[in-house]
Amino acid sequence: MKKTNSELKIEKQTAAPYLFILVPFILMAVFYLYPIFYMVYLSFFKWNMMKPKKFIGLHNYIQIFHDPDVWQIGRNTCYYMIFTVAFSLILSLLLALYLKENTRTNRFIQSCIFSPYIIPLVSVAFIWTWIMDSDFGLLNYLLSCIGLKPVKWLNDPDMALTSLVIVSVWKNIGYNTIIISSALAGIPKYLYEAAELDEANPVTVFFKITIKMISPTMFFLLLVNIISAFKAFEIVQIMTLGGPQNSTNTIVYAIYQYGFKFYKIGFASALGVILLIVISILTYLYFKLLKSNIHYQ
Amino acid sequence: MSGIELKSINKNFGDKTVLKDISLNIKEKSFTVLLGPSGCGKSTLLRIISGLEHQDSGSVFINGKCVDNAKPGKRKIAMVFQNYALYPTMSVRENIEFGLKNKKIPKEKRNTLIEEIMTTVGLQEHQHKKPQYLSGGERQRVALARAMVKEPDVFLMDEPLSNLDAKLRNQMRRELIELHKKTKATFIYVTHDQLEAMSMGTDVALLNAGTVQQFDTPLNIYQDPANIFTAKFLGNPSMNIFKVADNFPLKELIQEGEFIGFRPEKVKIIEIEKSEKEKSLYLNGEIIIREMLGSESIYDIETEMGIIRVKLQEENIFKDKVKLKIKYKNIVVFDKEKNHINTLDAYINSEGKNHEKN
Repeated sequence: MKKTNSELKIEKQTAAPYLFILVPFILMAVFYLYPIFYMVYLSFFKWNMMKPKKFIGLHNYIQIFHDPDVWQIGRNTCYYMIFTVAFSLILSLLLALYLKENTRTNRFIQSCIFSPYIIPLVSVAFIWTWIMDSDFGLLNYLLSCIGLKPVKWLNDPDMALTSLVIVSVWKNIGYNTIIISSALAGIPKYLYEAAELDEANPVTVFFKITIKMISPTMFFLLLVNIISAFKAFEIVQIMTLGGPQNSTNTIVYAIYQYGFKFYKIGFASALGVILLIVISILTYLYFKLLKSNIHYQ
Repeated sequence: MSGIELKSINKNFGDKTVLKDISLNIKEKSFTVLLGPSGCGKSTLLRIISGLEHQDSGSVFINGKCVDNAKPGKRKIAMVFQNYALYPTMSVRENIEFGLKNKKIPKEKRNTLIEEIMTTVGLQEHQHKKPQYLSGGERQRVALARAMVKEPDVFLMDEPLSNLDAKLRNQMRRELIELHKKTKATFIYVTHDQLEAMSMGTDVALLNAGTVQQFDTPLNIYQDPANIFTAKFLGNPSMNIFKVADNFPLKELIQEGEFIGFRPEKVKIIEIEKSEKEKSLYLNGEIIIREMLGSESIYDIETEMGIIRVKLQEENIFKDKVKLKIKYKNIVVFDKEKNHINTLDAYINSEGKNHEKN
């Protein structure tokens, strides 16, 4: 049976879009999908990259749940994530509110705050390693100037993770502030005027109008910040190598360590699968909440 | 005294003078329209009355009390914004309730008030919807309900109908008139639409370039314009205005440099000149443009004075050469500063008297 010209044309038209996405799809498959499935596959094996793989079922997962080191890594990751996200979001919100008026000084301050964001994290980590040096660091010098005792920062197991939080917050704040500022600028002025006529006090205006109007943005930042905190790697690698006493070891760094330092590929893959599940759940919750709760114009 | 009194209000934005020495006495329970072309300062004046904007000098009195230092929420006013300014994060009900909650009105009373207003404006079925899911007309009603529920002394409205389509606008116009009768509050209504001003207003303040040109009932402004600006602003098509110059038909009656004007609907097209008791101006002309609108028709007619616009009801003229007649009592004379003097017949009489005295 011969196809008419117009039928052929339609066929061509329907094929074209798939052809266009084929290239990115192949790239995605090679660099995202295949590694993910291979990671899940590897998590059921014992393998050190030298000897042949040995199938051990769920043993890697059982081991993870019984390993006190892994539990500490989990606690470290949560501590780092919660405090980094909370402080960078709250401080950014306060800064954005303070910078709301578009004056020349405010624009200058804003670009100052934004600048850490454009410095590569590697450089930031190096600079702060010097700043936080317990013997010759700038921070301890400043503390001594105002008569405070020096802090051992990265060398103190109780302080090291907090130090990493400080650096991450410093780095993230600029980006968050810019995003929140633009969300604030997007709130129409007449809403505030209507609220003024409705005799709303400043607290009500802040919670019922400002916060509600920027809630989609805050939610977006929350997710982005949480995911990036979970993925923290460079900062640990450069500033602490997970120490002292495993106190700054977070999950991604641990995966790297188990895989490429201790050659426990199966164990590292199992950790990777757990991280994947956690992030998937968070993303799912994010979209679920977004649909039900958050205002989008 | 009650109502609203504005005493020599001045306002500048940077170098630009927006309002120049505005004094108005807005009567209690009136429906006063602030009318004028865009940029004339009418919205700014409304915002000064509301307290959202502050005047540079002068005072605002509401019900006899000076409110210069009172916050907008304390002036017993409610405002309807051009874009409604509904809170997008709140449902219809919450939008209406917000002001009451802030006033700490107890919940039971709030509920009865809201139920009442919902029935009045017909919004019950929409009360849990967010504004974004409402049509333009429904949003308009929410905005009105939000204003009404506060039971204010004064309603301020800033072009509230300009975002609606023509049909809905007609309907809302009538509803606003009804609302005004029902609430017995003072309405101040800003618009650039003369039709809205004429149809709804009990008083109209016509503004131009930051000054009040005329403040009167709409009919008085229409029939008795204070100057050429008000004469041309009201009426569609606008008044025919001519400067009296050489070889002008009426130049022996009126001084050079003065102006005459007459409304397009006051021009009659006649077959033959008849001598009548009432004096009239007769002109010969040629129709150059016809606009047939069904119930009425508008013609541009070239005459020795210039092009005259004529509006006729029902009768249609198909020939080109026509004779025009305008009664003297329908012709208005303006002085060299473009201010109103009198109608032509009265003008001639008073001039005549002057001549007699001389």
